[in-house]
Amino acid sequence: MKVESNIQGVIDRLKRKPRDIRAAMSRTLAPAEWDKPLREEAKRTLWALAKPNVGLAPNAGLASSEWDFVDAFIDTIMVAPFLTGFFVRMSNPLPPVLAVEDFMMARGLQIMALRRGSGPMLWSDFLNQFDQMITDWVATEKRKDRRDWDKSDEDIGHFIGYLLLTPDANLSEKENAAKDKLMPHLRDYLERRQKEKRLNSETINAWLLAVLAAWSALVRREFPGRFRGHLAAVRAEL
Amino acid sequence: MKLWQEFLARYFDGGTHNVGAAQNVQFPAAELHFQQSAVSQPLPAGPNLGLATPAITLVWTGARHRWTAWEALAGGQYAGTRQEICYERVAWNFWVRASSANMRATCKLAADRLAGLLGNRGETHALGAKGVCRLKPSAPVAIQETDYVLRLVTCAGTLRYPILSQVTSDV
Repeated sequence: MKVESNIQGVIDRLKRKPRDIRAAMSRTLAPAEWDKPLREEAKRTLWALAKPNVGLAPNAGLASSEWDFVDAFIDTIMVAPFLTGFFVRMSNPLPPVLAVEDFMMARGLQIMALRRGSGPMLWSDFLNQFDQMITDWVATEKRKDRRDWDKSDEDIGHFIGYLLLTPDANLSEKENAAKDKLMPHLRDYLERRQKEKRLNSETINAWLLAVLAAWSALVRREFPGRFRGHLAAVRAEL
Repeated sequence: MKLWQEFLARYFDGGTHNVGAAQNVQFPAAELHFQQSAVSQPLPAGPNLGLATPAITLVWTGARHRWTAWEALAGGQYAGTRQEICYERVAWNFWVRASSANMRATCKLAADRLAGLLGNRGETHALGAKGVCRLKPSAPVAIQETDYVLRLVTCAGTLRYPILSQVTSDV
């Protein structure tokens, strides 16, 4: 009678196990694996929660229907690698439109920070938003003349932004005159932007929290099955 | 969706129902919605428990895994007939909302009753007989909202249905 041992096979299998688990885990947590289901889950959730705002006129400062905003929220979803897994985020696509005074204060604080050497990037998000709005105004409403023919909308917007946010004492007489002429148009434009169709902040907050809860439930539910599937596939590989 | 509508409407009618061993459990009357159907604004005041009417919106989150199996049917004139059965692992999200007076209490009551109901095998047997089986509800999760108080009850389950074009019988 011949006695054979399969212990070497068992040892090989055990040695492969940690490697198989790592490989299956990294495949399960690949961002591409989750991008589509997470987007679909967010879309289903927002479609279920959005309200038609019956009775509100479209120009009453609120959206005629919250459903109009769902796609904008979905477009902000980002799934990306993070350490050994992935992270997913959805953000508010509708940042509030600030008044000119808020931008002036941000510019003043930035100048103060630069003088103290505490960071040139401070407040730059606010000021970039201001530059972008001025550029939008240049592109859509500004009556351009021969002084503007060789400049892009961004160049003009950046220069006007500099004029508007720089204290009068630091500008020449000619620049101050240009600033006084431009300011009423820009104020009017910003006020109109503030009254555009917007979601209230409570709804935005609720949407973000609800999608987060739905994502959490989805990942908890889906992870074991997906991991088992990848582990079986890894073990089947030669 | 039709099955869920029938099932939920039987309980969330504002009356008392026996759920498993528990006798005369009070259920609030609830508005039932499916997928993206819009909730009434504001939600009407409810006649029962002195609470507002909650709304339950069911969102089907799609099939995760699908497989088929040949099985012999049991009972009835088709006993012994072999039939290919399709199984789909699916999940549903139940968004429970309430507004106006006592909204937190209403929302909590409706979400707790719903989670308890879905986890009761005796009560969900009728759903299982129609192909909605192996329900695994989670505990309600509270989500803050100002004009609606909102809670989420997720429920995993399996759909079971015959593939009608592929039937055979043992002879």
